[in-house]
Amino acid sequence: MLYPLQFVRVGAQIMQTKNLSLPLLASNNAALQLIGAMCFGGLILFAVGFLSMDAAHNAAHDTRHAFAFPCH
Amino acid sequence: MLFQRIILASLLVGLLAGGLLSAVQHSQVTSIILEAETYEGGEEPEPVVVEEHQHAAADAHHSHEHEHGGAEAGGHHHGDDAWAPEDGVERTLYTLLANVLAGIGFSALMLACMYSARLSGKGGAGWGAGLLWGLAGYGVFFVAPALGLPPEIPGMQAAALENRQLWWIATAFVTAVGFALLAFAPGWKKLGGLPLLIIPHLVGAPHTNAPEFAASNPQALQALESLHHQFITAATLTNALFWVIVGLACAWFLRRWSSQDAALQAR
Repeated sequence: MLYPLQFVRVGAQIMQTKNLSLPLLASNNAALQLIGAMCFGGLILFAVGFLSMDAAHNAAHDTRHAFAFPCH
Repeated sequence: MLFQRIILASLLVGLLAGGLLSAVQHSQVTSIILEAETYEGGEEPEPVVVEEHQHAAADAHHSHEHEHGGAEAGGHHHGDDAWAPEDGVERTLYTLLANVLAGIGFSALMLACMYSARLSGKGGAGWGAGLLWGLAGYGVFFVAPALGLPPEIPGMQAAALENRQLWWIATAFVTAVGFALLAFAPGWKKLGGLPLLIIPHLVGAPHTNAPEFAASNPQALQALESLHHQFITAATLTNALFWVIVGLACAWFLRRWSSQDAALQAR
């Protein structure tokens, strides 16, 4: 598995040959990971607050009311 | 890795904020929901407060109600055959779990947004910044949606669920973009955020023409209205507390990461 610093070093080597700038690749990678984290959060919230499956609704019922998610 | 960092931190913040919320909620909010449920469907006109007297009477009607309660052991649900947690400890534990999960989801969003702002050189990570981020989350996910769709207690009648959910999500999203513009856009472009904050409320939340409560008994109606007011107050306060905790805890993690990164670079 590549750790962030290794990833940046590998990326920097590639970019030296292709004449790209380092921050571009580093920030694209960060942006992807941030979007991934947002999707993770959004999916969990969807399951807790919006999923219409009966069992999901019943298990999270009081939470949905308390957070003022639309319910019923 | 950035993704791992955020997920791990959101688990911890969710555990903290969801756990604390559950503790406060258990004493403030849940009792109102349970009491409102006794009126749900208008099947049981007697308010719960006089139930003690009914117990003493122990007439045939009451034992019938008991059976009814047994059939609906899960408390409240929609589908007749659907699974629901048993009232009591099981229901409380599921609420705790759902609160923690909601806390994890909200803090993952919060951390990703705070991190984005940091990467573009904006937004601090001090206690003050954490408080502001928390209040922004409160505004986006509670205040703005609740202005159109106030917190509801069980038994209230409302417009089609899908429409309300759509309005809720759209309002939260548009309000978030509005706040982001107000906070981070350069110069006069900040003003672009203001119309975004207003638009969802000009469009208006879906509402039904039916009366608020299905119950017809005036005594029950009065009790339900008073419960609803109590519930709005309790939800407004507990959500504020929740979001302040989320904002402060997320800022703490951002500061921790900054110092870790600084130490790594200095090596």
